Amino acid sequence: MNEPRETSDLDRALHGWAERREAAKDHDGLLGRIMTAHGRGGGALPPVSLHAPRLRPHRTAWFAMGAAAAALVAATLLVVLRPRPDVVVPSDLPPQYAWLDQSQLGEKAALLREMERVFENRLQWVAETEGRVVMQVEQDGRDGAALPAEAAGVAVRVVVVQRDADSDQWTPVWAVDVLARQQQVVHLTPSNAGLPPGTELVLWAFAVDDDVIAVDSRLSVAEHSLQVEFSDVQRSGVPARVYEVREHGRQYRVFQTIAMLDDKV
Amino acid sequence: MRNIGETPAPSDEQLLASYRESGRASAAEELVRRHLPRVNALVYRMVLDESVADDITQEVFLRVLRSLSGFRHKARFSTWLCKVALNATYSYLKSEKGSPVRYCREPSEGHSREPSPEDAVLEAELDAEIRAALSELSPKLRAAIVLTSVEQLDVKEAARIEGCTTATMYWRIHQARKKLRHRLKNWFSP
Repeated sequence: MNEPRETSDLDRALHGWAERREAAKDHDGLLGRIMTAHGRGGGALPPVSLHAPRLRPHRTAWFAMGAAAAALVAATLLVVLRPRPDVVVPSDLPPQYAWLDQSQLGEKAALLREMERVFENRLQWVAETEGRVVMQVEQDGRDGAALPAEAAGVAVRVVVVQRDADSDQWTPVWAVDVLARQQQVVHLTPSNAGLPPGTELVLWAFAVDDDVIAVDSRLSVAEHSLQVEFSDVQRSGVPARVYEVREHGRQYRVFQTIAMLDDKV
Repeated sequence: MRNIGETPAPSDEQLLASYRESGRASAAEELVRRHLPRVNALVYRMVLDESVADDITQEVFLRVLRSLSGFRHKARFSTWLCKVALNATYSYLKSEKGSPVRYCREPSEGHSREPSPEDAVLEAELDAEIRAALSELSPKLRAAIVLTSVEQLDVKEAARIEGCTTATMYWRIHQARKKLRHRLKNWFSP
């Protein structure tokens, strides 16, 4: 292929730069550092997350879908997660309602596809909390805010549980399910998703492999003075305890579950 | 050339299986040793700082070793590793957002060939200019040029690592080359 002369010069310059650096680099010390840290069971270095950067949300419009959309969603088999105050969790394991099972995932994948069809691929996300279903849809479908339907779908569940200091049983206090395409920034607030005052959730996910998903999330729940930031990889479908705190004689835990949606379902 | 009777080196997949099944530290070490130069080079070419590159490389391998149980062989291990390393650099660069990438004027020592004193000065200057030019690219454009021009991956592979379409990758490469050519035009013949 005939390339412009300066393009070849550019390649040569880049290769030369890279080779000179490699020739000067000794990796033995770094190898030793890594294996020593691994032997200790982790690194003492500040954490570096494995996610790609968040996409900045584009200009979007919020469609208050109201009763019509809620009814439509209800008809599409969304399994609604409603934490009930009387439900208790008897152990330190993730509570059963933090898991996303195959049946739920199949239903959520069908829901995402159906809503994307209804909104002609302008759907950005679907969120469900405390029995309410909210969607964000691009206004005109031309600003590229929604990701193409080829991007893999993801389902995310965040559950907050609490218990009193003298109790060994956990009670769910807040939960949300989110459906979106990977790399879509999802930002739920009281105004756009009907969350309780002072509650906010930002999510971004990217599948680094079939079973491993990089997740970047930030949750604030003012009512319980919770501020959670998570930036790491997670196993698909397996709840991760992303936060735990004890305050004023009360203990809180936050579980986050993320799973890829099989679009063939 | 391998001697007759010499045991062939285990593949990445064999090392992964060995590490997953028995937790053998030697398997983990061999995996790290095998991929460390490439990962460290990739990270360095993105962050342009030796010390930061080493820290990120360490963190990448520690996290990868902890996540190996989740790795499936659908993607090559090296591809997955590149993805993870790039994601880590993006994370770092995001945290440094607002300030340009810092690059160090590192002396070019240890060359495989010994340049003349005049050439050595010119090479050091060119290296500094290249680092400066790369630091001015956005992380996505930098990754595109590093993966294709420096790492010499084909465009499809680079797109797979970056999680974008090949068309997007072509566009990024084009943009990156255009900016670099403009920035480094004084170094090239007209």
